[in-house]
Amino acid sequence: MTSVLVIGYGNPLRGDDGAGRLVAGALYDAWPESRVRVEASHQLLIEMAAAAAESDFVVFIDAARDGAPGTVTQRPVLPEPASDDSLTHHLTPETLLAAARLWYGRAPEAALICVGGGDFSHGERLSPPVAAALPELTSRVRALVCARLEASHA
Amino acid sequence: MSRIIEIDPVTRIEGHAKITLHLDDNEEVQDARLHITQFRGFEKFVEGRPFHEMPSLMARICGICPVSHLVASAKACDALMAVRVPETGVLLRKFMNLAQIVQSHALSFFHLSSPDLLLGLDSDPAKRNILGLAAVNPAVARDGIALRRFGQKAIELLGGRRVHPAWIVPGGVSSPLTAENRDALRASLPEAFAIAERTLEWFVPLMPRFVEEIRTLGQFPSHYMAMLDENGRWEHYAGKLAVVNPQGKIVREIESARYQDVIGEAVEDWSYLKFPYYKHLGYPDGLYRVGPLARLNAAKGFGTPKADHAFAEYRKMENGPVTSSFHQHYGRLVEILGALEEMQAILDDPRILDTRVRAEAGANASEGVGMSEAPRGTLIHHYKIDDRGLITWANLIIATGHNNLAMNKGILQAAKIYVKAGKLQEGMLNRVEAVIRSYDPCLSCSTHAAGAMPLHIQLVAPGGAVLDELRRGA
Repeated sequence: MTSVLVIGYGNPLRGDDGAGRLVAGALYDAWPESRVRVEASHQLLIEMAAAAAESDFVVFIDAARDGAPGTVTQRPVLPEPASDDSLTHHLTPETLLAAARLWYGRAPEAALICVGGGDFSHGERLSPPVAAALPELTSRVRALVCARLEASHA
Repeated sequence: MSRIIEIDPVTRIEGHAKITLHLDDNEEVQDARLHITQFRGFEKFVEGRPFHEMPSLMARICGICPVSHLVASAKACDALMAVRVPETGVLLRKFMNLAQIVQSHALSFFHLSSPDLLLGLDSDPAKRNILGLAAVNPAVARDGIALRRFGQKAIELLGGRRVHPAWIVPGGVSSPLTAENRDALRASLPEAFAIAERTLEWFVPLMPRFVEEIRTLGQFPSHYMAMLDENGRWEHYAGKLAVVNPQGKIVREIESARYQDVIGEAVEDWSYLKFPYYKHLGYPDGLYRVGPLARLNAAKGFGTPKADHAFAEYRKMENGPVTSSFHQHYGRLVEILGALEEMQAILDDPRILDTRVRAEAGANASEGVGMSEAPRGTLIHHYKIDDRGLITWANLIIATGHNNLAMNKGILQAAKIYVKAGKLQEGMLNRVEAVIRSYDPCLSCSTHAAGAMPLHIQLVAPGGAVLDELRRGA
């Protein structure tokens, strides 16, 4: 049976940066079945590699500095080790998957769903374009997770 | 012609710092300074806030050790309220503080320092990280992850969230422990014990490999400060603050509220981090150390079998206090074992499910001090309030601050041995950084910053010309 890990991350005190975390929080109880686990986090943590390795598919939700504010994009994520020696503060989805493969011998398939951010300054409010994009961001995550679950039933 | 070498920023620590190495006319290192270049200002901007908000506000000081600040802050508020925290409230606070110590020590030992320990200080810096460990010992990396998850899970089960839980409150804790969560915590302990024990088993025999590091990385006699229980044993929540001299003798034991009898605070215009000192010796001679090294030099033991055995082996290294800062790595492993045994005892305590966990009161005193042992050392929160219960003054002494003089001295010692004026070399500079990393400094606490931390070193002539330069990372 397919298991899916959803990780929404970002700093809710830095405006649009908190969008991913906000969406993950809203999806906490979306899938009562134990095959989907949702995590809302300030940032990606290296210990999430263990949970990733235990999953068949990981959905990362983030806000990006590049891209037009409020534009939702989706791309696959492949494992790729970090090129610098600091892993405590700045961890990418690619590095997290690389850690899962190196330590646990398994990197799941993964996708990153991103919303372009417009305002990353101090504050808890999302900019209007990002706030308006939240329903689409949420529905894209739902659709992706449901598609993976249905595929495993087929 | 004198000149200065800069290491900016220092990597694999929590926060931002740079080092300048000052050379004399003979190109020998004459002085070394650790500059903390970030400013936080918590002590000032809490003025005017209601005292009962302080634990939640103070937890925001740090994303690594918010629980430590919650504990010290809540204890200061207990003093302002003049209440006795219910026994079960104390036990639950202790349990969360211990979980914090375990997860933070795991981060320091496995994630931040084990690349130096297992890959070597002269290894390729691009691979000298926890991912690089996978090539030589993936089991160690997995153990680090598992132990940190254990501590975080424990905090999450108690506080409802992993980072910045608001469960520790003035007067106790906000909700009791459920039987279901107690059982879940109990079930997770055996794996944590197994990791702690097998890590000691592989790390201790490696010690001869580090003879040079032990000799050169912060190896000097000093005073030490740590909290002790009424029997002189390792303590992290209550008890008195003990001052230990370089011969290992306790020379002062004071109640937390009287910390200013023994600790003074100095400032320098080249760092945002204060320089606490032992008043009896003045500034800057009053250098003292806190944290694992200090706690294990001050304590007679843990009072629990596994940790006491590990402690006895640890203390055999020297006939007297253990003086090398490098041994803080070993000390953290001993403390993890002690913390796990105390966590086990707390979960086995029949009072642990009692629902009376919080004392309610308003302000009944104008001044309160809270002291606890954070992973990095003694943590002091001191507040004064007005008649409306609003903060009029706050003073925080953070573990990394206590160790400021010691870190500067350790850097100078290492630099004198390893840094010569010729071409700058990566491994040489990492040894200077390794001194700092042994203290596991949390600069976010002591003065957070996000982003990669590349290394940039400059050799600068008095006129400002860059004579030599070394970069790594982004």
